[in-house]
Amino acid sequence: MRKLGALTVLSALVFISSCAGVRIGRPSPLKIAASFEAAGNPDEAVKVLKNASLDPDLKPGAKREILTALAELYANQKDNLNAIKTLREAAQTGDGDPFIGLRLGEMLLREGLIAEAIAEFIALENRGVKTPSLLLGLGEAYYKNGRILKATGYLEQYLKIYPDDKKAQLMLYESYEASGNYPASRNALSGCAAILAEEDFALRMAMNWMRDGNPDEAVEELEKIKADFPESNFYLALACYQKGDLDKALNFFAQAPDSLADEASFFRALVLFELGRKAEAYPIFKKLALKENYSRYCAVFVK
Amino acid sequence: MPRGFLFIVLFFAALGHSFNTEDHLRILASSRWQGQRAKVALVLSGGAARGLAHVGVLKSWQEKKLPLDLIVGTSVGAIVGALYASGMDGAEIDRIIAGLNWNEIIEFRVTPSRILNLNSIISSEKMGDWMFSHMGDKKFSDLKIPFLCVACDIRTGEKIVFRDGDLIPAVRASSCIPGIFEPVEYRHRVLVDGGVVDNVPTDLASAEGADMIVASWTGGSRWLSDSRSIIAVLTQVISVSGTVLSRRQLEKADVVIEPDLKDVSPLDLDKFVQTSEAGYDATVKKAGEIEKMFLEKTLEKIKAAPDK
Repeated sequence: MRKLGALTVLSALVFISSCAGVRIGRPSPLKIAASFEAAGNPDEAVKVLKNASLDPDLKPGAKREILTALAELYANQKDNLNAIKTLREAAQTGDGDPFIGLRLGEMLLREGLIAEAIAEFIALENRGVKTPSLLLGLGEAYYKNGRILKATGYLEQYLKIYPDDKKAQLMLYESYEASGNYPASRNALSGCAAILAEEDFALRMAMNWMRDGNPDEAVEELEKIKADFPESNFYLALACYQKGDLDKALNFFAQAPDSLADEASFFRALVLFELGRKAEAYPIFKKLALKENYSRYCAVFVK
Repeated sequence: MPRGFLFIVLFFAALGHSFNTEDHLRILASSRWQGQRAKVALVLSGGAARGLAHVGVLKSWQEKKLPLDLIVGTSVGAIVGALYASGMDGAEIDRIIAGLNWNEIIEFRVTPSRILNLNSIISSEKMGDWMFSHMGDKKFSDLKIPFLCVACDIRTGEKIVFRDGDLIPAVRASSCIPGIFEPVEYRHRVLVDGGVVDNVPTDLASAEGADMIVASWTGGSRWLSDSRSIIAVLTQVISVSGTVLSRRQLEKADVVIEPDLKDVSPLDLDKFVQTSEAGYDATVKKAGEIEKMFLEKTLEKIKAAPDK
């Protein structure tokens, strides 16, 4: 899909260049690069555009087109840093094309340079740009930056335009969940159920119910996937523990799969401790205290 | 759609569900252990304009759903803490202060004819009116989150702790920078800024039974404006002495949030947006540690609880 996108960009730029008369008399570098790209030789396409961009006689508009196309090629090759560098160079050619700013923000986001991505997106927003891509970019950037309320605001706006974007819905669910808005979170999660595996969806829903203080609903969700998803035993145990059904919790913790063995042992030890069976709990805490994930919490009981 | 399908598939594959030990412990702490969980106090220091970073701290605190059982404030920390404890949310306080015209509530009194008998450079009456417009005539007992603030009796040098009665006189006294604002006469005392005796009162939080203390520290200014005005020098003197006094108090905190305010002076009221952002960012960075510490302290209480 991304490759198709790049080809479309290249083709569009080829067309525009032809109309604009870029280097009339010899084939446009965009055209040559597009043919290399179509022939499955992206490295050669990069070389052509890179050389073309160094031409000192190139007009700013033409240079911008070449650099934008070059950045797309880099992006396709997952060379995000070069894509960012090239887009920055393209942005310096003037005219403040919002497309370049948006792509730059998206690439920065993809590279994990969140603060820089936000700065790029905000600069566009301050210039009055309000496209769905920008709303999504800001929503995603703030979400990744831990700015939950801001993320929620942008994602809600974006989803009014594209209500079927499951990725955005999933981020919105996570944002609501993090801010403790559990009913809204359930709605958002239901909206993206189609793209989640059944057990993933049920597990997220069960965690939501437990966070919302309703372990009975969590048990109901988990029972649906219990037969095919052994991890559900751990979460059933957690829900029983939350409800105060400690014997049942112990039973379910014992059935947790190997992938959750340490986690189940830790919580099993907590239940045993609460039941007053401290002699059984201590060796478990002592053993887990040596493991990085549990050392801090187990140290409380072994010191 | 602005994004490719492949990218979406990769995104979901990478995202998956990944709940960790903290997620699981948090569920128990907020339900089964609710009555036994660790009691968390947030102590808001003085720092004049720098202390407005507490607004961002509280905004982030609220967004992250961090537990909060007690707020203790000094000086500007008392103002921000009282607003939050009275039920305003962090974003609302942020909006109000961002839109505040400080010139409207700071009334300079210096005139050539009054200079020799001057009690203060700035009147705090309008500040009191402003507080009233946002907090009404609330008493400490009306607050949604327990709150304490401190002031100093300028005659005896005593640290005065307010935990009951009318809220606004206590907050006004706690934030009354000596020499700049007129001392507040209240309960037969002559009171000035709590930062004079205790700029980050962690010991109060401890005395109130907090199991975990988080200090938001906005003192420590090493930045003096070029003007060398009376106000600049006075606030800097208080800031420097407050920092020295605060070292031992900060050691009593389990976690210290220290917003990056290196280019914000105690007088930079016009840098509120930057200051608040710094508080927000500093809290986001510490949120994970605060949460882990909270869970650890909660487990300590579970351990100490008598057998059922």
